[in-house]
Amino acid sequence: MASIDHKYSILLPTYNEKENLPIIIWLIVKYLSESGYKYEIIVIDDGSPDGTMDVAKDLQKIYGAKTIILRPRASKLGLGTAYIHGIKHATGDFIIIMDADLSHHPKFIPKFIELQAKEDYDIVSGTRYSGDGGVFGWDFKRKLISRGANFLSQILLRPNASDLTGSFRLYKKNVLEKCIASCVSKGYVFQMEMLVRARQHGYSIGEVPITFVDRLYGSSKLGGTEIVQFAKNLLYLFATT
Amino acid sequence: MGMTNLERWLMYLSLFAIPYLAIVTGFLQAPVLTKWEIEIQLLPLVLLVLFGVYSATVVLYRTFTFNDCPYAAKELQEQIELARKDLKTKGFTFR
Repeated sequence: MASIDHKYSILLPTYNEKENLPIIIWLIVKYLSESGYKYEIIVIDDGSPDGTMDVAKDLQKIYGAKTIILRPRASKLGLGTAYIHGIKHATGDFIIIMDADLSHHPKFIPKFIELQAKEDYDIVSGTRYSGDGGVFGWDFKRKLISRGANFLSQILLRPNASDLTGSFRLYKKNVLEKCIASCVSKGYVFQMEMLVRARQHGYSIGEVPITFVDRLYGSSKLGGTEIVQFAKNLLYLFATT
Repeated sequence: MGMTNLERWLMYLSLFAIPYLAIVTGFLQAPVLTKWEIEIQLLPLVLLVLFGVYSATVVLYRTFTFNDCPYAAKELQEQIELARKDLKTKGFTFR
């Protein structure tokens, strides 16, 4: 099997995730060692005041410095730069990005890997919007906004993927580097631009339906500012891509 | 580099707008156009309403059929318990 020769670097950008980090790492180790893939977890903590970094160090003692790699940064910088920072230290030829807050379940990672290996996709994107995918913890209003925003971006941007704002994906390393280099936006809309740039570059995208469990602890963020930011970036990408 | 999305939309729009304006301003004249004058004048509005209805239907349908995945939340809750227990046996202390 071809994937035996490959190595998967999982990037975990964190900020105040001392509760979730042990669990997410435990789950990643469980599912990836069960499936036998070579992997490493790169924790990129942006100076969390809650001591996420100390938790990460404890986990490194348990799982070893080859599996858990710590690459902290002094302060909270953007998601794009966190990925660039992580890629620099990644030894895998594939990069997996996911949230550390447990909304993305590591059980889907082997599915991403299998699909990529089967079809040789440049990118495999988790999708909440098709097949068995879905979201736990959203009320009607949140679902409506999400579906509306998704519909609008499908019409205006013609991406080759159904979940533009998701952030659970597998990339070939050089593909991720190239997509990031051509992105201009920051924050939450960055993920949307990544797939739009991927379409421009002609990269192939496969999709795996995922279940998204919105933060079991604490509440998720979707306010007026996020919506305005989304709309601005949507129009920007519509006019320029 | 191909057209941007905006340029493509403007192209389609002008493909519609140019003959449309030629007809409603009377630049293009034919008996059949005079016979259907009102219908032709109202065409953009009708298309807009149809598109609105289509969009609303699709978005609402997808909202109502959005999977709730309670099983995923339950599975995660159980695994969190397992993970906490297992990590403790490995010598990890939760802060």
